[in-house]
Amino acid sequence: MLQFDRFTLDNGLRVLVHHDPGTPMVAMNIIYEVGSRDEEADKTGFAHLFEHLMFGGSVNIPKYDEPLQKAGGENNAFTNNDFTNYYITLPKNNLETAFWLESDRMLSLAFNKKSLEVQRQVVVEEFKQNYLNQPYGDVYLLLKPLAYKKHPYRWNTIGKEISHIEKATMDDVKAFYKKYYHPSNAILCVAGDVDTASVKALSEKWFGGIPKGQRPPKEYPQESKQTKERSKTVERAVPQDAFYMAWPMPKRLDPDYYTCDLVSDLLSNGNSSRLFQSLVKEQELLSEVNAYITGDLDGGLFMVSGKLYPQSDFEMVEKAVMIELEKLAKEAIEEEELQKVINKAEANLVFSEISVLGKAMNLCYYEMLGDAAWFQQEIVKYRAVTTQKIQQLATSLFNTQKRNILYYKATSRS
Amino acid sequence: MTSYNHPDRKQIPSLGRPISLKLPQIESIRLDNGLQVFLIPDPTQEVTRMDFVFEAGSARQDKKLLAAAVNQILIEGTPRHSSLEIAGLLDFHGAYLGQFVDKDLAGLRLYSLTKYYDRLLPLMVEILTEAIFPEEELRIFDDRRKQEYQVNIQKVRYQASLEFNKLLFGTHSPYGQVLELEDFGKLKREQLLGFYNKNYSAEGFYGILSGKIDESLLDKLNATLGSAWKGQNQTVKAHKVMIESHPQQQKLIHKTDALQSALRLGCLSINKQDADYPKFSLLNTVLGGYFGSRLMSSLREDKGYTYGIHSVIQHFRDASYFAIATEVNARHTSAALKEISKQIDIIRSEKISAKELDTVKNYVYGSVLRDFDGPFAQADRFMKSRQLNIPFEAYKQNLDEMMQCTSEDLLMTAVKYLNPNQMKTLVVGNTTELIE
Repeated sequence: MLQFDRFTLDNGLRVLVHHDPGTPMVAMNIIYEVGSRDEEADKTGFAHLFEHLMFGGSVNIPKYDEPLQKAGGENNAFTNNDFTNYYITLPKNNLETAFWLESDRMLSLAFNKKSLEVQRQVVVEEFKQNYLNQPYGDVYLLLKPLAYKKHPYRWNTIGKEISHIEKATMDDVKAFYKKYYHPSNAILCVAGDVDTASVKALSEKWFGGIPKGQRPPKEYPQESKQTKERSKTVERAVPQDAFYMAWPMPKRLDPDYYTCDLVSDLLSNGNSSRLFQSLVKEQELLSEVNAYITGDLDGGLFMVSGKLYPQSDFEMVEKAVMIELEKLAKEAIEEEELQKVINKAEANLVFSEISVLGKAMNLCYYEMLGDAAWFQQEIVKYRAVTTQKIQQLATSLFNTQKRNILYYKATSRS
Repeated sequence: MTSYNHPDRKQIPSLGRPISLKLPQIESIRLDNGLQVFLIPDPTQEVTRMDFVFEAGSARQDKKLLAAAVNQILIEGTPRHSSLEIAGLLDFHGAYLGQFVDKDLAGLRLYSLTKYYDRLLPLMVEILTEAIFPEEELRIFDDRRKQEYQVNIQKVRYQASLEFNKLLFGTHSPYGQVLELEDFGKLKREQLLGFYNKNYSAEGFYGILSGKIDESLLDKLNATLGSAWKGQNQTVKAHKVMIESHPQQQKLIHKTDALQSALRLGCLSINKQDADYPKFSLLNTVLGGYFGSRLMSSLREDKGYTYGIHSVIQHFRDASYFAIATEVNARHTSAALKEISKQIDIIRSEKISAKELDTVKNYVYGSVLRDFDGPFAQADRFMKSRQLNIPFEAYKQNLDEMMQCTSEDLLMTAVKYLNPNQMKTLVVGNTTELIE
């Protein structure tokens, strides 16, 4: 059981505490409810660039990393479509250093010019390293604008193009900070050998004096129902042809989310999964195959992708994949197969809360969804999925009219 | 008077006294057949892990890809369970089966919810003792690996790691062998069976059981693994890996359209048993071993040449090496190399300040606590200590010695072990401004 205590400061900061006496380390995790979906269409990549700037010094602390290292701490952060997550782990006797650092950068940044210049370059290198200088690295840059036409999910967290990052100005940085980086848009969790009373005292001491901000509205342009298949073909200097199919899937809080997740597991989680057995092992059409969900809050994508052997072609592969997907719609799966994917989901939930950091991240994430206690309920929601629900979902989801498909062709080299 | 909500934000809050590193006394049991299993129990977990460790790393193979093929295809069938049945059983119980091969060791690592663990043990033992290596599975393995290789070799980072390995150890050393396209399609089933019978055996085997362990699980382990490989010799025969010092100091591989260049600089270095090792390890941290390191501060945070740069000391049983690794903006390839040399020069000629030394020591302290936090992290470290023939307690001694290091010690260590004339340099990417 993932037990926790919860309180809210007067300025709106939500704080969660998990007590785990078994470790000398303590984890502090903070979610700011801002992601790339909050960006403007001509300033994409900004939430992520901003994450880098959060390490460029705050109003009273010129360097973030140096004192943290002095306290034996380590930190990192990530940004996705929906939120930005920062975390620290450090020996428990230095917990106050984490409060000091995180509260100061929530109070105000230093807005240092040089830091903006350098981090722009670092992010441009990250863009190149992971998205351009990498075989298949640009798949999502191509696929997302195909699958989304209106919603800000149509661009990637790294940004639509490098030029947006290069153009970011200090005024943009300040405005973004003011709008999203304040106590009422944040969730803090401390997990480790700590007690709630002292976490509360530390929270009030360090975060209590930060002015309350205004919670930004969370409204985004919604997609119209897709009625026609969309496809795109590109050629790249890669060794293998690859395909990426994407269907729009329900929002994170829709009960069908759990059915979708289990369907993706039926298809490709583990060596006994359907697509792996059929396409990789039996028919030997693909060297790898994947089915997964992106799980975004406002409605993610159900993805099926694979890499083709030289003797396979797109047409036969597509047919073979669709046969497997349609099978789920036509025939109810056996109870035992359903049990298998539910067991896998249960194990994954348990594996995700082994470390104090895993626990702190989970608690913040579920609090953002609505209630940290929902983490405990996850397994119940997976267990509520039935073979009928799977069949219904497969019928409505895998509709070729709602399909988006990227054909990623290997340039023939002579 | 300090006001409640106006704490002193200019100063770091006073730091607590270092928490001492507590290493568990690792006990071991002998199964009925004499096999040794080490125990790292933690009753608060709901998860159990077991590492089945063999002397079956790539240094033992006489054909490239053999050790990896055996490790992978191990789980693809026994006389009683097909590949699909094995996968089905593991998946049904939500288990995660890790397959690992490095230069010295190979094996399997099973994570599962404790409540299902006893059901999976018999299957694990069956896999380890009765694998049949179907012809068909070998072909699929080979095809898939070949495709994967062709994708990876396009990445400057991957190509650099292979080439650097050759440059360090020499291609004739078992440690220096790297995959090439023509290595695919050559393995025979008989070779797999030969390697399996010889190396997945009682000789050198041990297990590490960590997480939640109860009595009944130990009984089950004895009832299954306790009767495996009966009568086999369990002592490891000496096996020393030859290292051939490669005369070439620099290698440049030009990639026409690369947006980034992968850089590797390094040399063979002292091992963990060496009396200078704690100092060298601390020195490595200063130079490139953490986010605030000299290299990271200069090449990433100051100049923005790269998304990241690191230095490491890597250990195998019969060799250790030091290396700096990064991918940089192709335009700044030669500037980045110059900056790296400059940082090496500085660390070899100037004593580090008391402040920096203090920061690094504290950082190292925290990261060692983190590295030993929980039974699974401890199992990882314990396995490494066995691979390198060092006592598990040596980690603590090492840490204590690092904490005693002075700026003078580090300067001497830098002069002794970071000699630019002995460093090998590899560039994969934009080499136009560089001279061979």
